[in-house]
Amino acid sequence: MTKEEIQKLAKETLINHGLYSVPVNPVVVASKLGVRPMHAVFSDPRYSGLTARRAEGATILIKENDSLVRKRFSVAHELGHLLLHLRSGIDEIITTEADLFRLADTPSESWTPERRREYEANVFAAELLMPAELVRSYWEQIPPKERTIDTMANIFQVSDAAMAIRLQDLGLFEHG
Amino acid sequence: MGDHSDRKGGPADAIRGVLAGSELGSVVIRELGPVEPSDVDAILRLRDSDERVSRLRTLIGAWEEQQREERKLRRTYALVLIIILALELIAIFAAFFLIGTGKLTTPRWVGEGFLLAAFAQSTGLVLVVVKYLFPERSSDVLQLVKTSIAAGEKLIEPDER
Repeated sequence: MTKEEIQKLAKETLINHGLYSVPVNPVVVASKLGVRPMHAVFSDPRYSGLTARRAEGATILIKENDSLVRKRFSVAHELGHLLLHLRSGIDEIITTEADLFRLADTPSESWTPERRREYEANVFAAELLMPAELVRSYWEQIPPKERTIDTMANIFQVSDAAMAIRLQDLGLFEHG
Repeated sequence: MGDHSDRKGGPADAIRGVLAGSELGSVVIRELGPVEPSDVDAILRLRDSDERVSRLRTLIGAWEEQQREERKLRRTYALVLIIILALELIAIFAAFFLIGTGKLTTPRWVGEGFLLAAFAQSTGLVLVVVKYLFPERSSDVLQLVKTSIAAGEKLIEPDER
């Protein structure tokens, strides 16, 4: 799927369930999709999330002692895997912490399927938690003096790093 | 957000069912409770904290009112007992005076018995006042306040980014 298609899917997911407002609660989105995310303790501290689809249903597990913003992104990321990569097949995907930072990369032909998959899940998570139109709208509404990454990150309840990447991606960062 | 891993038929069992037979069993050491919407929403967390504080305030208000009513009742009882005690002491002294001046004649054992009984009764009343009107202070509410404040602080503590 292209980046635009993934973003469209994320936006439609929010709109279809009446959740297109800020801040997006990824757990509520998941429950609307029939998935209940669970806390877990993983054997490897680098693991931050896991998505599994079985005949009985889908499961999302996220690291219990992650911070609020990290949990938000993890749930959104795992939802991305569920909707993009585990749509029908019985499979599972384990996400590591490093995978959550693949948004800043630019896709390349040399990428492995796994790396591409993590990038796509991040594109989905970014659009789900920071819908482009809503980010632009808030960015315009905030007085220029208060227009900082931190302010935007607090509104959308994401990390400063994630918001910085998003603003840059939307071409708003330079305007500030 | 508790540990529900041992609860039969709980969410953890559902996960075990999904993960059974796969290599994910070795990846997941322990499944805990479900992620609640408030676990990933700072506003909901603050609202939870606010509700908790509000509930605590109501509880303390009710406890305060109860204490005030109890104190009022105790004061009334204490006043009645003190009046009875005063009247009794007056009666004892009057009887003692009358016996002493010879205006009232009773067998020796009646006089002694009367004084002894009056003394025992006075002591008993003092005991009632001390023991039942001023019971040991309960620390239950203070403990509840401490626990709630600690829980509230945990709820609203800032997250690391």
